Amino acid sequence: MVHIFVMAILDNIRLMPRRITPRANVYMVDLLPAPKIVTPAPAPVKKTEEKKVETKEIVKKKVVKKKPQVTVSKKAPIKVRKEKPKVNEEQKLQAAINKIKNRVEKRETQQAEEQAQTAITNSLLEIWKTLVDQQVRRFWVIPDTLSDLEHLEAVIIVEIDKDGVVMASRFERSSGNPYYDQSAMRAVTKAAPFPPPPVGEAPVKVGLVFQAQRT
Amino acid sequence: MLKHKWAWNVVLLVALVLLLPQCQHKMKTTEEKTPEMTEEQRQLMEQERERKAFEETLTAKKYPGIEGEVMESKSLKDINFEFDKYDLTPEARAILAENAKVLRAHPNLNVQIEGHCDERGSNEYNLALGEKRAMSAKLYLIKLGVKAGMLSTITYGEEMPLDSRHNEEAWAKNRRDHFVILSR
Amino acid sequence: MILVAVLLLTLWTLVPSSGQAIIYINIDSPNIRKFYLAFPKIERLGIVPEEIAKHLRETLSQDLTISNLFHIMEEELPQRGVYITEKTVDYNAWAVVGAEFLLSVGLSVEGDSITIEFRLFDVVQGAYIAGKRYKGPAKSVRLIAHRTADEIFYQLTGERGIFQTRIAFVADRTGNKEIYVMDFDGHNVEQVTRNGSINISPAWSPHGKSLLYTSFIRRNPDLYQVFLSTGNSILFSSVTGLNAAPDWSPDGQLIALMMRAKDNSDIYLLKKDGTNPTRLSKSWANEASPSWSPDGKQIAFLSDRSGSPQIYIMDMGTKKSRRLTYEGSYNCSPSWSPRGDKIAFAGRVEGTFHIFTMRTDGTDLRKLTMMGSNESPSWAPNGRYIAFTSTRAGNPDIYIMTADGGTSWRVTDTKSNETEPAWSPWLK
Repeated sequence: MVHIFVMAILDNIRLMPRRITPRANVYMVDLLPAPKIVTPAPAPVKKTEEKKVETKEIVKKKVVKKKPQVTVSKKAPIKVRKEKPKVNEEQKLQAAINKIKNRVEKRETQQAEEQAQTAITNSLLEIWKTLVDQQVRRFWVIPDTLSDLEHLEAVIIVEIDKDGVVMASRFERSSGNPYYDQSAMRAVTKAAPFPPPPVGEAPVKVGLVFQAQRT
Repeated sequence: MLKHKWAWNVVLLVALVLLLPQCQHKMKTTEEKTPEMTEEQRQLMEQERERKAFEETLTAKKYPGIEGEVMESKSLKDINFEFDKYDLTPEARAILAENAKVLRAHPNLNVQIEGHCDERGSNEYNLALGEKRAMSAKLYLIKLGVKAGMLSTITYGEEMPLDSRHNEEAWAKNRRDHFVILSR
Repeated sequence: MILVAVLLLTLWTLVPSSGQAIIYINIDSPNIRKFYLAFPKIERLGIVPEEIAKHLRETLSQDLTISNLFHIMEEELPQRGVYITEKTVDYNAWAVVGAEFLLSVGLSVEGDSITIEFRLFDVVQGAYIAGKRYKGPAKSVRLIAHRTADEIFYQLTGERGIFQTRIAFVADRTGNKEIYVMDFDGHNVEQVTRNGSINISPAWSPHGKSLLYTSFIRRNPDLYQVFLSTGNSILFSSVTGLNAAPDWSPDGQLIALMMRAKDNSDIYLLKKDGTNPTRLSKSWANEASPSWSPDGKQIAFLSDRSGSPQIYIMDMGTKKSRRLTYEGSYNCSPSWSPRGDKIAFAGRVEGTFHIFTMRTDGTDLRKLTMMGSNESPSWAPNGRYIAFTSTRAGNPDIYIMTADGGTSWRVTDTKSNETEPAWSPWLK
């Protein structure tokens, strides 16, 4: 009995308060006066989807519309301007028929040529798009911690001039995760300059849709 | 005449002294012969003798860091178990039968059955397994007529190995039930 | 004329800026790889003891490596001899060597007090993205390094880092099993219990201020609670038979543990003050090792009701259980990831144990360890690392690994046995 009593006392002595994990007093000051890189708030999903559909349709429509326009505008020079007088009625007819035949043939070859050209332009564009895609993807790095976040999508609009130089870039849509957004912007910054776009006109506007996991 | 009495007394004394060690024996034989000694008295004598013999088998045991001192008895032997099992082997039953005899003879004892495991597997699950092993023995002992109230169980899981080596031999030793006497 | 002009103007403003269609390109399949981080020499601002600079660099480098975010570039770096601040940084020089981020650290010492400042730059975008100055006693150099690592981790992922967390564990350094606590990287080991008895299964309270553990002091596996600020232990639950394997509910209101039922062990619940044990699992089988889901709605636990130890999940609403593990003859020590999606456990494979993870719906079983015998998984509070015990180097030691098992680091390295790691929650 005595030794149990002694044990109890000893136990209590052992259990007397004693500090563990002494808190070090560390003070902290922020050195960063500059504001953080601003990304726009994510726009509501529905609207942008509609926009996208619209713009795509517009692109399609325009492409479709172009054809008749081209043919119409180019039709004019086909017009045969010289007409020879003092020919037989028959010869006249034959000549007229021949002329019409020629006109039709020329128009058809012209049309074929134009179609071929737009086809070439379109495929050139597709090739260029693929090149841009590959180039951006090469530089798009996300850390492991972001890789399991599915369905994140950020859209960056890039204005590319005829030499492939990026003139401007901005977010059209944020993914909602600023770190994901930053990774996309870094990819754009690193990937520039791009190969010169095939469309010879004004700067090309490209919308880069960053979606890590395509569903 | 007195002189003779004195001499008789001396002779008697000497005889007594000489015969003392055989006193009990003599008593017994005289008892057997005389039916006046009751069954109860005889049993009490037996018990007393057994108790003394039992005391001889006891050693005190202190587990470091654990309150209280207990007794261990050479007459209460460990039983062993197969890996991951808590059912009793035939050898275990034989040993328990022997232990039961001792326990039935000493119903005043407070005996704790300790369940132990080898180090393999989850420490926490081994606490449960140790408990099952202790319970197995307890239930069997009760079946053999041991008073339930004198038995208690405790599990030590894998925390108190007999042999701390990491091989089959050590593990087999560690899978055991051990008996300690809390009080008597 | 004015009307025409106005019309033209309005038409002009209505039309999108260049009047041109946007060509959309889909970009997918990013490279999931580490960033190239340039980490030049720590700038000594004044006289600085070698020890302090060394500890600072070691701790910070190791933390950044464990973060799994960076390849650290330490050799052949530009801007030598320059203390790089937002005023002196030359982004081009760094871009040329391939750095994507740049970490500049400065250290000064005054007596027993140290001042550490760090600046993080995004080289690709040419931006200064984070900077802090810390001041504290010299012995807090590791703590400051950990804070810096946490800060950097947050800047680049938006997630909280685990560099200031700790791990509680069981070790027999004094000859018997006592409870200890250490930094997650193995430094600053502190002995928590000193009772000379057998002490096992530590578990953190949700705020990290106390530990529950089981001790045999009173010749019964009793549950004690020790407060880390004072080292004081109190008897928490001492039901005769068994009070072990505790796990606090995420809201801190209940404790799940194993207790003795009639002749088996079951999962019980205690109130947060250790009273009112109520039985949760009702079966003749043995149940052990409860682990709460982070939303507090389910508990994973071990049961041998099928004949062998397997992992089950109980729904706290319906109290119904379903079996999770079907492969292997011995699965134990379930631990629910703080991200809620996975459960880690130890499974026996041909005699030795390995750490596995599995989704809570039972799919995607993955074996994470290869060597030695590995047990007692415990998740870091951000769900991206698992601490565990391994015998791969001889006697049991504590290791940490990434949640996919890709990389592991040894945390304790002693001749004694270190087991049962419990990773702390977010501290302070």
